Amino acid sequence: MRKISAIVWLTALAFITGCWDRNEINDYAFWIGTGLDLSKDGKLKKSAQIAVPAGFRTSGGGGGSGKRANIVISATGSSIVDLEQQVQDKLPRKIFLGHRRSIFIGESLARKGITDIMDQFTRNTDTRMRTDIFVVNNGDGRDILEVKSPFNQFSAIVAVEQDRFCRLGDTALRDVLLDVGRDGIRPSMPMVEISAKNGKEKDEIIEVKSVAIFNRDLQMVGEVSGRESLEMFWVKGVLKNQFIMEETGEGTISLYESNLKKTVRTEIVGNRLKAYIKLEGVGRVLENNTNIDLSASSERRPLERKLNDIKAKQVEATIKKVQQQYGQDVFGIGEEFHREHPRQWKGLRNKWDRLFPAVEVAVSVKLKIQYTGGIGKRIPGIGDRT
Amino acid sequence: MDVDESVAINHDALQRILRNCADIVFRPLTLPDQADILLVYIEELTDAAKLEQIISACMISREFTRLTQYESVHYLSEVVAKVLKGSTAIFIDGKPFAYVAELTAFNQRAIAEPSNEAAIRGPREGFTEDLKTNLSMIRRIISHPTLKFDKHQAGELTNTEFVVAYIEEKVKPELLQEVRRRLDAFSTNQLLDSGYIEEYIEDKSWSLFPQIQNTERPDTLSASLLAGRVAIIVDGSPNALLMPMTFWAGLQAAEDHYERFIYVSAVRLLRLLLAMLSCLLPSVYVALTTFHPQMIPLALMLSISASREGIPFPTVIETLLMELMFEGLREAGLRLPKAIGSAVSIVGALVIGEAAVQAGFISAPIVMIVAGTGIASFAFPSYSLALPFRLLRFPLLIAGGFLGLYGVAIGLIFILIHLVALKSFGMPYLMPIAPIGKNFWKDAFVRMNKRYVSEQKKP
Amino acid sequence: MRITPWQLFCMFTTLEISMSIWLTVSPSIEIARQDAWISLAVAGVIGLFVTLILTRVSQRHASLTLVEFAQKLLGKWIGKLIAGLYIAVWFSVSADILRIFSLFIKQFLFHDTPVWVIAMLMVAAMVYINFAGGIEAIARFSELAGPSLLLGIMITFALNISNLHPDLLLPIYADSGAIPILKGSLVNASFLGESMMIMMLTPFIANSRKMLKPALLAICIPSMIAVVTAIMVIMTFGTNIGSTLIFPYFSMVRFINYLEFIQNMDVWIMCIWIFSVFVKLSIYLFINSYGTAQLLGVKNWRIMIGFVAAVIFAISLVPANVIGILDFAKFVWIIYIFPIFIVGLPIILLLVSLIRGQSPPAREQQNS
Repeated sequence: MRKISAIVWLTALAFITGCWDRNEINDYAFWIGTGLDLSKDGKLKKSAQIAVPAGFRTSGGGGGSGKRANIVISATGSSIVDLEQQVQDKLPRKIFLGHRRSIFIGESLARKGITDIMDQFTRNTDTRMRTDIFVVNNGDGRDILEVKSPFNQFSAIVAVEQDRFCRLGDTALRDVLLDVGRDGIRPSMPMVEISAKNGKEKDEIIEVKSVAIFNRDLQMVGEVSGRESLEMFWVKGVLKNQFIMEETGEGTISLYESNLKKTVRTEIVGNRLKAYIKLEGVGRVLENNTNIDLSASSERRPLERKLNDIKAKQVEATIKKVQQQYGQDVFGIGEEFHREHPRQWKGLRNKWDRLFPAVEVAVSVKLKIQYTGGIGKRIPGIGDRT
Repeated sequence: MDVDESVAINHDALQRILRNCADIVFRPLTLPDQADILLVYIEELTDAAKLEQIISACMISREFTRLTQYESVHYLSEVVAKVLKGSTAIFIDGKPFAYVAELTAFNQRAIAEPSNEAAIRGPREGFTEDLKTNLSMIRRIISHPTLKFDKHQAGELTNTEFVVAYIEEKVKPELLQEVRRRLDAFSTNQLLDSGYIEEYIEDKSWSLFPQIQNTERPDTLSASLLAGRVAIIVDGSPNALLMPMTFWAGLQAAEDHYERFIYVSAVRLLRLLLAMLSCLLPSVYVALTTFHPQMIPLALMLSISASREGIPFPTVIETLLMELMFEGLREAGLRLPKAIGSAVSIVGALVIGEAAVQAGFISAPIVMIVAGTGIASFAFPSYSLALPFRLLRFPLLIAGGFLGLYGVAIGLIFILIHLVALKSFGMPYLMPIAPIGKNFWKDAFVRMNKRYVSEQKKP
Repeated sequence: MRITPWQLFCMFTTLEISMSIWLTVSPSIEIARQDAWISLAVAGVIGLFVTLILTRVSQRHASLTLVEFAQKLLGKWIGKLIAGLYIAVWFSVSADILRIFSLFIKQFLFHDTPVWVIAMLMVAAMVYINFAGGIEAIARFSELAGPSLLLGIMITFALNISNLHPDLLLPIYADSGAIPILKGSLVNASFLGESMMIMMLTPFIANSRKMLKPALLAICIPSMIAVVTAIMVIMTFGTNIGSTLIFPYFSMVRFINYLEFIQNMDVWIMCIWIFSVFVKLSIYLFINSYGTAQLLGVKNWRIMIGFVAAVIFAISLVPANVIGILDFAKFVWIIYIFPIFIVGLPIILLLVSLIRGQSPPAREQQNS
């Protein structure tokens, strides 16, 4: 009995003398988004979007006077760690990285190469790998952090959510890291830009519509945008759904394609490398400006075939463009060779950057129209083109 | 001291023992044949009509065998003990013993619904303070000769009777032996409630957890007897003791065996969850907010953070204060008459809930946490098992406040070590789970359909 | 003190699982790349084989602990020497585990809290359970901890399914080949060799003739968990990240984000996992105390608990950092302890016991 009570007292003592790591929740400065840029004189600039909880409260209480619930702080220096200390020096609260949702890399920094800054994203055990990472198209990371979105107090979160609905979701950092060390694939990153088309949208709306292409040394070499970027992700196998609109020759038709899949067969014939890419998906018609009666199989089949041919050509063109313009295998075709021909791959892996542009790619698309939408035929009298 | 043949000597002796006992009546009578008779009884505890019958019977003949309940007692001390329990002693000249008849009739509480173990479905009667009534209730449920009531007596001053009840066929002999051994070692000069025995015979009286179950319900008690457990029923206490007790018994209500089994299984899981919440919720909240904010989803955390802006207390102190206040409210409300009790809760809710948050002393999430904990702690069917959980909340809170979730985990490990090492009359406290027992699926976490399992649980 | 075969199973499962989601996966991925899961399966088979030998040895002397039967088989002094070596190994291993555990907790949950506080609280709990109930209490504790850890792991596996890229597991076998696979399996196989503790525990097992099945099952399930963990880690992070992460399972759990609300589950899993490490360390403390007491001829083994705990605690404070201690696993455990103490000596003991042909299990049973 006495021994047990001694144990209990010792334990209690350890508790009472403790509290080294205790920190009230409002002694933390929650770091929501990071911007990394190259400053004019070639130094590294780090910006942090920090939550200001007091501002957050008014949004619920009806006050909501458009006060920002965040503050953006920047620091310039030569090494990342040094910057962290500089940011901390500007804050009354302890910085907390556990809730960082996204990282924005300025395009100039991305083009210079980001090898040196990647380590910190995974090493710190406070941070999560579930972070989104963007390259800022023609701009600085800081600019994105300054955007005041009407949807959320934090532009860093808005970007993540937008990315989810448009392309990848919040696993971008993991996906980039996955691709970094592999021979048969080159990393790609979503790009974000401030939409400045009209005055009202400026500083409020951000766009995620392009993809940055990196080479082996993590230098950005180019970008593909819009439809091409979606096709790229489709071939890569990460795209889940998309809207497509095609001109069929007798009018346009819009589809919402889901359950997207890709299968790649590869072949090595002598010195020639061949890849057969098959893309599949099922679609729902959103808009039909043709006279085709989609509910009739006899009319739908030819349309599907036509659509698939058009799409296949587009995808082939996109691949060709990437092959020739940038020469970086962002599609992961090399990995497909790796999987199917693991033994030959050992000879190919080191010269893949040279081989990739010469790979002969054949694309076939199999989109099926599963639903014709709420109506079968068009309602008579609407847009008849006789 | 033996009963003398002479009534006069007995009279003197008794009066010496029972001097200054105003409630005891000595009533000498002289029979037609000049023999002296002495009746000794307590007026308030004796049925006057029956007494008259006896007296007239005595007057007519000295035929006492016609009395329904009597015994002849040879020792004066025994006579005194019986008289003090409400029997009537009759001394007759020339007989070296006293007739002791039980003519007791005193006012007692009627059988009522047990207030602490109310059930929606099932019998509504509860034990009263009278031992005989209680025994009769059990006997009515189990009318079988193997149901045994061993009568004991304890308390040098109170002379309280208590009964060890068991079913001979079901009970394990070792268990019965162990109970008897501990009861033999038990001696006290006062036995006012079953709690006295409980504290004396339980395995570890320093433990926070009750190792002997108590119940007010005859049906619960009978079910336990049928399951081979032993019960102790103490005169003057409506709470009977059941042993051995397992942890899970404290999480089971009487109607668990009357309601439909799927519902009961779900409710049992819910109770277990609430039981854990009732001791872990405040500590986990404190640990998460002060040590591991990355665990809380961002949006939720920002609201918590916003509501904590400007609060003067650290979260641990804040939680501790509110928990103490809550326990105070509960304790205050418990003893008050119902009418005032509700006033206390209104004041408490208003003052603590509204004013403290409005004034910015206490953050709103804490009020919710404390309220949630309170509700969870009311979900225990057994009041005595809820007590350790109420108490353990505080050390865990401190552990969580100083070492985060690691502190909570270590605290939990300490509690679990205690629970796994604890035994109740040789039975491990967490029996059908650790060590795993045969009725793991039958009657622990969940209750199986009675059609598929024998409904009697073995200890 | 008596434990049932089921409790033996629970105890061993608990203590092996704590390893298979903690330290085993990333070294295997480093060596065998995407075929790490094959390595781990191979490791499971090696573990089964080793455990079979260990169990057979101890079953032949069911009423004796290692300290006793080593002396009986090899003579008093050689036996004592060997038993002493075993106990020294167990001391070093438990100190090492305590140290990695504390550093790991510090790394994931804290920053500034000193390591000795974390270790001391754990040691206090270990001492308490040994005083309160010895191996019996530990067995019951593991009956609670094991299934809940298993449940927690299953939930994380289920929630992680949406993050998987099955392609990352391909090509199978071609990249690595037999040698790396075998090499990669050594780490986990040697960890599974922790079942050598059974040699100290047989006298406490209620029915030692039935202990083979639970002992083997307790190798199977953690191996399966390790295989699934490896598959999941590779499919989530690929081989490059997977091999660099020091604790890949916990990183994987941290990666789960379900319904935007269930995130950073790693701390929860860690809380349950602490229970299983506690079981492991308590068993080590028990066998160390009991073994030391028998070696020194002390009648009441409980006297040794405090001393042994203090020694383990003191040793655990010596090494410098996480990597330094992982080196213990790499350079001491795998190279010396595994071949000598887990494979070599038990086989010798088994052979000696067979040659002497004494004490058939049935008779031992009656004595106990």
